[in-house]
Amino acid sequence: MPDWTELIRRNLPLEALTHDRREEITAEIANQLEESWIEARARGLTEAEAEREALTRLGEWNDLAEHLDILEHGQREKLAGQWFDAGETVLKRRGGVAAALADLGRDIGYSLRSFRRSPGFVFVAVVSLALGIGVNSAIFSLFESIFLRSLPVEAPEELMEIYWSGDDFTYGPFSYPDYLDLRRLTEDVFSDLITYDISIGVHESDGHSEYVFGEAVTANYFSAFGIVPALGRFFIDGADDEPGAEPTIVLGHQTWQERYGGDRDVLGQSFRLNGVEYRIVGVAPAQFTGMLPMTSEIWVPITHDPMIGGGLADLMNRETQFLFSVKGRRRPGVGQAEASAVIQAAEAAIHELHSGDYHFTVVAVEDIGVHGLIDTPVRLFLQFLMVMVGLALLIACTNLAGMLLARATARRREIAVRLALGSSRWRLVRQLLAESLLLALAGGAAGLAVAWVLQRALMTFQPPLPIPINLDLGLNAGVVLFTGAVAVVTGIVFGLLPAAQSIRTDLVASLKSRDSFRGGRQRFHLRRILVVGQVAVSTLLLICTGLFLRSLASAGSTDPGFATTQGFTVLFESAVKHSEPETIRRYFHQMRERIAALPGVEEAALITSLPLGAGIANSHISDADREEEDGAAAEADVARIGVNYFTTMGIPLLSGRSFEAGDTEGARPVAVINETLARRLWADANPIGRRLRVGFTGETVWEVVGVARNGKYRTLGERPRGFIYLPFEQSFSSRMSIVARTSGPPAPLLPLVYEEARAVDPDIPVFEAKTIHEHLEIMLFVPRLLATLLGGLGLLALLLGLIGLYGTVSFDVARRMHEVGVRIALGAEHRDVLGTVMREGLRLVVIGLAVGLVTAFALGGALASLLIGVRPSDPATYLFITVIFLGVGVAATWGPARRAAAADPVALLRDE
Amino acid sequence: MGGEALKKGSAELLILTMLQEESRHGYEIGKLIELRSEGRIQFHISSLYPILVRMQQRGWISGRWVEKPGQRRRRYYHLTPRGEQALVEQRREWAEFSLAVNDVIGFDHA
Repeated sequence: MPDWTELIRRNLPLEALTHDRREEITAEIANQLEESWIEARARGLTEAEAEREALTRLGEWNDLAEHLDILEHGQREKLAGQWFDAGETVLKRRGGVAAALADLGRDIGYSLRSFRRSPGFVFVAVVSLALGIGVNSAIFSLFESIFLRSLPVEAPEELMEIYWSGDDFTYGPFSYPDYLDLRRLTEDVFSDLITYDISIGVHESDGHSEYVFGEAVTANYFSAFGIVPALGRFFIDGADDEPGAEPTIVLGHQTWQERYGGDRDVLGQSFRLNGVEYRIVGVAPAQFTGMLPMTSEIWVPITHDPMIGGGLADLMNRETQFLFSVKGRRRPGVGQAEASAVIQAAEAAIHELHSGDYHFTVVAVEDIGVHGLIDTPVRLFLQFLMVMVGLALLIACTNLAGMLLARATARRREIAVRLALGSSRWRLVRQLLAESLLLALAGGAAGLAVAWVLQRALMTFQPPLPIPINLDLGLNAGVVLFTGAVAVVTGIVFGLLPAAQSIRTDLVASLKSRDSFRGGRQRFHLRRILVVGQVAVSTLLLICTGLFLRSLASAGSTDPGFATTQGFTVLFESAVKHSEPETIRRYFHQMRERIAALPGVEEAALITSLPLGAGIANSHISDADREEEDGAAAEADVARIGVNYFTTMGIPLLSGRSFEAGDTEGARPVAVINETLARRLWADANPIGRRLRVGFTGETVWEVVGVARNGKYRTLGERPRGFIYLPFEQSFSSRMSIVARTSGPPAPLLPLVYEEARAVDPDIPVFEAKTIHEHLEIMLFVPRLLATLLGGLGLLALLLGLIGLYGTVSFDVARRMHEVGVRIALGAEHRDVLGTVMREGLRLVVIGLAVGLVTAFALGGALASLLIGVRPSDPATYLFITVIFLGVGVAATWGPARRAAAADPVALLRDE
Repeated sequence: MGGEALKKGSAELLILTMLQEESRHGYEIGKLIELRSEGRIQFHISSLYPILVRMQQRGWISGRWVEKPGQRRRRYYHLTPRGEQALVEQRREWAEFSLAVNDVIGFDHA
């Protein structure tokens, strides 16, 4: 005789029950099977026949399991109910919470049991949600770290920032004299008004030199922020910032740890910066890294700024040194409005000293993310990303809702039985909600892991700049809270829909048959709408992805305006040692000659900063012989160049001449402009010989001697910009680059450049050296970042869309197998069945695709500013995505359709 | 054969009737229904057993394990007073229902 007990244990999942109850049920069913077997044997059947008969008599294991599960669960529920009904007063008072908790426990237990029976469903649901939620958490943490984290200073809400704004720029710093005026005029509303600027110096120790990055600050800087030093003291107002005072320096916490091993004896030691000995007076606390979006290594008093080569005289120049950011702490009781009003009054006074239509902007420091200069684009960029990841989550959620709907349909009978057994509908909704919430929370938890991985990936995306950017991403309380909130909302919103649908069950129809059409039709309608929505959202996301991939490709092949791509550029800051224009010119000429003489270098030239990198200056250009009211003025970027810059970089001159050796300081000032600036100032007239001024208060009159071909100057995607070249000999900059065109690969030459720099002057180290290829990579940074992020999101959307579509079509096919059986029995060809099923699935894809394409077309304009060389309505992208989606549609419907076509009609109909 | 719903709806009545005479074990109940209906009504164990569980939960029947000498250990069910009451009600309902159905069918055939 077969071992019935073992057979039952294998086929009947009863783990949820108590041990005793499980044993009892097993024993009784084993007993019945045994009776049947013995009886059959008595009738003369063989052992095998008798076993077969016993099993036939048993029926379906699944039915038995399902019924028992419902009954046993319902029983416990009822018992609990009785207990509470009969409860004493004590229990009644606490009943609300206690009963709710007991209910919750039961709901969770029941959900977990039902999940154990469908691990595949749970896996797909949790993975979809984890990816959807994870990308949202990662992008949110980026946003949080930039815009939501408050400064580690005392009462940050009292701080305000003041800067210049105009029509053509959003953020302009102050000159030091402007700051001093502003400080005096706003004393009544600000207890402290501070100013600071990035300060870069060369630090020498143990015979080698390296750059350190920090801030030059007013002496009241630290006291205004209410910061306590980790060691020693901060600057003293009226002492450390006195022009004649001994130079003092405050170290950043990290610098102290890394360079001095956290030695407390560091106080009083000397720190050599640009050849000057600074005495270390204090160390900043670890959490304070300065006001710039990088970690400051040092702070020095503004009057001892190593960058201001000319000393106090330069610092006091109101017209040229617009370098200083200004922040203030409002006095107690002074509101933002009052402070703003006083600043506006000060503006009127200070404005008289300057020309131009600019004004002061006042903002609360708490509203500043990275820096007033780039906040607007950064915020836009992050908001765009948040919309994109939101769409990805929406797709994942539609998947979840679709899967829950399918599951609810499959469990129609269970739900009907439970309703018949007296469960309330609210009880069932709660049960189903508990399931979706559990799924969403599991998805959220896994999403945190996804977010953590993405954060690591995001932090490796350091912009290729010489200064390290301070980006601190982590799973802090804010991010975890955000993730939890997203998960809960997801679970409730996308669980409620299927739950509400499934309790609107037609009891009789559901109980009556194994597979009723009536019960499922409406739900299925909803599932189809979900799939259409999902395809539409995926299409929208993929169109964006496609556009940014095209944008990256286009950026990579954009003509930068110069022919030389094989070469390198080296940047030097001579102000760390020299301040005299003559000395500086001599230094740069010598440096250029040494680099030009290197083997493999064909030609080398000076330029302030190679276009398409940071450090391009902008100025106001006007016709010197006409009134500005006549429209003879324009904005243009300015570069100071050496004589052979155009030939070195392969930039053709369209008319006139380039600079020559004779264009020196005493000679007539000359300029070369580009096509765009020529057209803006003089339309179609010949610009050669015309005269212009640079800057609002420019005294010098420059004569145009040549017109150069247009190029790209700030970004590869920019519209044509005006550009003006001035001879280095007739103008001046302490910070210059030397660009070189090489005959072979430039990278091996860079170590030689460092050697030459040491040989010419060991006190002026190379600030930055890179190949032109690397330089152009900076321009590809943002397009590449966008393309990578959106490429990943697009793939995710495609994958989730594929899962959703496959699920729906499979489910549809399974639901209609009977119909398929009838059709095949009535003579339908396999091909017909295949066609019908695929047509149904593809119809959903086409509708969703159409909705997505139209939406993308309507909203695409918003992307224009982020795209390079690609229109938002790029037909190739639209066509490509359409083809991809049709491919996905075919892939997702092919499998289920083939299954349907290959079905055996006899088996199908017999099942009924 | 008759509809699944009719069978399910009448299962409780059938079981109550079987137990009115004497206490029986689960297999016996199923077999007896099959025999008395001349094989026209058959229950799988997977259907019948949960109904027995449910009827116990409602307090209509009660089961206990009995080990008679020379026999296997079996679980016997008997009617409780509540079960007897339920049997009376269900019989009445069934009679009314079948009467009504017959009336309708009879009218149809007229």
